[in-house]
Amino acid sequence: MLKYICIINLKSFVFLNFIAVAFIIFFMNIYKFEYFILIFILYQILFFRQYHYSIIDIRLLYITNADISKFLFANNLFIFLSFNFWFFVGKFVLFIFFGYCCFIEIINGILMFNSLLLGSIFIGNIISSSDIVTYKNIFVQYLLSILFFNLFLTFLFVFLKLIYLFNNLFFKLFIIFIEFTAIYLFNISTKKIKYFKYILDDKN
Amino acid sequence: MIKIEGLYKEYGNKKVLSNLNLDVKSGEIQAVLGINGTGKSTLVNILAGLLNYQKGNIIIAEEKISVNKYKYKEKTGFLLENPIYVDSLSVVEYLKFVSTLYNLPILTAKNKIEELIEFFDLPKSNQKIRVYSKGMKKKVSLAATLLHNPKVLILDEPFANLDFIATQKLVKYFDNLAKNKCTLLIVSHQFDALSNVCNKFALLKNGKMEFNLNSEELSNLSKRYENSKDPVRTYLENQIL
Repeated sequence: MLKYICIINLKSFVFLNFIAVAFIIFFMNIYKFEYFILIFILYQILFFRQYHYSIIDIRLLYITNADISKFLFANNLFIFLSFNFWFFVGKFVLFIFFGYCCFIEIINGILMFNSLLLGSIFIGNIISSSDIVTYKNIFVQYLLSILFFNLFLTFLFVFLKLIYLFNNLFFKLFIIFIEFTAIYLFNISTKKIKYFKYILDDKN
Repeated sequence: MIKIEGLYKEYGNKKVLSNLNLDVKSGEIQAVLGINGTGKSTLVNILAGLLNYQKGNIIIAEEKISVNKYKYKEKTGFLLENPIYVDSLSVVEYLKFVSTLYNLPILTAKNKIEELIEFFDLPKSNQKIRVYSKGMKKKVSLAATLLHNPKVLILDEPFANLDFIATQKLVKYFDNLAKNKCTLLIVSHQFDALSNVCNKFALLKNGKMEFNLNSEELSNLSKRYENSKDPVRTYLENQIL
């Protein structure tokens, strides 16, 4: 299942992710990496409505009684790997053309990028399987989703900025590790989720 | 195998299904007929657990179902009105993907996929499903529905977009499945394809069950139209209208 979900996503979304990441790299080159958060706020809909935009018809998972936690895991993994792949390609291209490379800045950029990416995936998963998506009023759904997403991401960003003041690489890596663990534990907890609440759309 | 008691479904203030009762026993093929907008697809979506319902009881494969009950899906195959497929995959890839969703052993899945590809005359090439015709996509979706040898089949318009030969083959296939104690509920408005294979015919009209008759009862009631070319069809048309 993991293999096929990754193949399907790879065939359908990998270049869309390239455009998303190219924009991040472009932004990062003009401004400082601290402004990453604006990009994730811009792309937030990709994270908290990711199952709506999935190329796999969710009804297929539902009528086949498939393990939805595996689907969540594969989707998250794909987003994480493809964003990182294009991020590194972008960095490499910039290095080839401009040659300038400050090691500590690159490491900080990678850590900030991945922290916000993992945070976005994590809160996206929570919103997608929460009661927010059961509100019949689509406006309320979006409003609450945007509110929770931005609030969480702002907290994470402020937290990361405070950590960066310490300028300790191991401490930053530790934060990334915590985020990975949170996502992993969330995927385990989704084993109990056998259906997405929004699929019960009584309005159709 | 499929038991529906007093099923009510409303969309807002609009009643879609009202006090629906149906009992389909093991090895039976039940047809649910009706014109567009009578609640046939809503019934299938409720049985598939994709829609909530307000009142009633539904038992499929000895399990009382609701939206968060799912065990019965391991023994049940669903074909929805709009066929499901992943258009970026080839036919073989898609069927392999569905077999992983059902957790089928690799060898069992391989043999079943080959059998279904041969039966439905599906292409083994690497071409993506998106390039195929509507009929071919329907066949792919049907093959995926039959992949896990379900004991209960719930099918919404299985003959739509299929050619005459494929329809005839499918009718025979359903007949064989019923002989092997598979229970089938077929929702359709194509009476011609169903007439030779179904044991019982239910008519949905404005969300209510107008009647549920077996072939013999239907023939008896149609006698008053014996001057017509197809008395049963004429009787049904009169009942629908």
